[in-house]
Amino acid sequence: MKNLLYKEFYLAINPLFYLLLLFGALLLIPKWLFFLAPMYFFFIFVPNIFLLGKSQKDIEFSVMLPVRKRDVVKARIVLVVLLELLQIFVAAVFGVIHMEIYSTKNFLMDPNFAFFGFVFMMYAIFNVVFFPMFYKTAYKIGVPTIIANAAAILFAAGVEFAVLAIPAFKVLDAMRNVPAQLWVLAGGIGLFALLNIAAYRISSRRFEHISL
Amino acid sequence: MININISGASKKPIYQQIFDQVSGQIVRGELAPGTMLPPIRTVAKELRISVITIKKAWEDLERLGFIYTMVGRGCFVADLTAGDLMGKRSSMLAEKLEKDIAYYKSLGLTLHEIIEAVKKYYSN
Amino acid sequence: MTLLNVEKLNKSYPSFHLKDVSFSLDTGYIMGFIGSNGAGKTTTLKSIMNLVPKDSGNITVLGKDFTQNEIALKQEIGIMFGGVDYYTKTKIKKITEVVRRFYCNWDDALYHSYIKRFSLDESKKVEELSSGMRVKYSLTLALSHHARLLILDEPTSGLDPVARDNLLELFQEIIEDGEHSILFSTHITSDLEKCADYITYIENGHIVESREKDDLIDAYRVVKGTRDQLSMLAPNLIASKVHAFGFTGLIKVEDLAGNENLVAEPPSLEEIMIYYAKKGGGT
Repeated sequence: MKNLLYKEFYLAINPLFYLLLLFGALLLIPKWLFFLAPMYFFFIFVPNIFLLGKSQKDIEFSVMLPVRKRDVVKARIVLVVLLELLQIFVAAVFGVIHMEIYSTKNFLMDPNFAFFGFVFMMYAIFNVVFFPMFYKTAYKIGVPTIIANAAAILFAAGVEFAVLAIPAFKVLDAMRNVPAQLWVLAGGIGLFALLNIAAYRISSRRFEHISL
Repeated sequence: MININISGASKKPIYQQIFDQVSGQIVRGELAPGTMLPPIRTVAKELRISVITIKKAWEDLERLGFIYTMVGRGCFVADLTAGDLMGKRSSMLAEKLEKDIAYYKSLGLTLHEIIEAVKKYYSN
Repeated sequence: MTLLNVEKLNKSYPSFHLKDVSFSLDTGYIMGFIGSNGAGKTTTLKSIMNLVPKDSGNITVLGKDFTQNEIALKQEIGIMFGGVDYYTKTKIKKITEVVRRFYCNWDDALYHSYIKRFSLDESKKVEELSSGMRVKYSLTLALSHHARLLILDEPTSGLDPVARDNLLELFQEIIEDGEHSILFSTHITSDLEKCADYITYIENGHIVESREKDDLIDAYRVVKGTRDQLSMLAPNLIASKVHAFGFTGLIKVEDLAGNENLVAEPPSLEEIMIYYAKKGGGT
């Protein structure tokens, strides 16, 4: 596993890709739709990793190494999860800065604790849709990307709507009810873990049945 | 030193060619008794021939008493007496002649004609 | 000692089946895996390596079940499916840097000796290598982790005669120590006429023959004769071709009994393949 992860970071990612993590800095834009910032991760980053993998025949290469087929899936999911965590971390840094420097109120949801809880959930939803769909064929990238993106975007839109329009959710905006927001954050992390495990289980089982 | 040359064009199976050449060298005394033959796998690599083919030729040589194996040490040319050599020579001759004569017969040659032909070609 | 044993391997696709594919390979030999395009060579090799999930059958390597010991047994195997065509935009040094970590028996000194011997330039990208060089790089990776069994799919296709000859020479060198075996598929049977110890012949998803090459060739004859003789012999022939002046056909030696007057010669592997393919085609 350690070796496969080494392969993922060393061969499967173009170092320039890391610059994409700086989309987290978009959180510094005042009065913006902040969910867009973490979305660039699956707009650009994930499709690129998989397209590069396809053009470089990463799967064909990986399965010939002394590993099991499911390890190849696991390494790829762990890679994406680690990058997502990194993206959330980068965004969080800018989120904190945002909350410190701007006193003006944002019309949409602020980048607060609850926001990041929802980002975890959004990534979890993306992963649990994308990976199992992709590993059904292990070469078709387009459709899984579109559907997983749509699912994540719908979720984010729903959250924005709820926080703005449903009174019970309003405590999650700004810094109104920090304990409640921390619960959302914890819930987000929990869901992220759970759905990623599910994504791995389903994906690896599907991948085992593919003729490479 | 043992000499083997394989002909790709010959209809003779390769192991037969090897057997014929090595046994011929032993019968003619070109390979002295006790000479160690190179390892089968080395011969195979050098001649670019399958290991099993060489193995077969070596087995035939051993079966007919031309060589013997010492486990762990290799194959050696057997110590054949002059009598043995003569015997081997005539049995090899007999084997070949039998086939050839059958062929000449099928062409309708008489014994006399065959003998005359042999005389003619022997002196050439 | 049996290095690889394939037993009753089955795999169904909508339009193709591997049917009870069985063969085994001992340590120290070269086995040629022949068959026409689409006969099932690659599918068989991939099923052995679990790249294609099999429907049923057992694969044992060094006496151990492959699926249950996949990681450990893959350490003993060098695989090559048609040369290196992955990470083509990456320098081979970088690929090696990744691959070496996966093998407990990786031998850096050996690796560099092959790199030198094959005149491979480690600073080159895969796409800059010729097909012969790619095969050699692939073999270098396999040999540097002391693989006991090399499974090579069409290693010689796309190589010029000189490169092919070099490669076959290397194969014989690899098995010289009696510790290594090579299973390689090819449709270029002339590669095998000399160097292969065993031949496994697959046609339309099932194994026609799997045995020592010399015995295989010895078991068949190409017969030639007149059209009258053909009608007499026809039921015994595997397949035949009729021409204006007579016929040629393939026959098993035991079916030739009583027809010694016919011209009968040992076939080449190619001839065996051609006649069996003809039979399979139903013509």
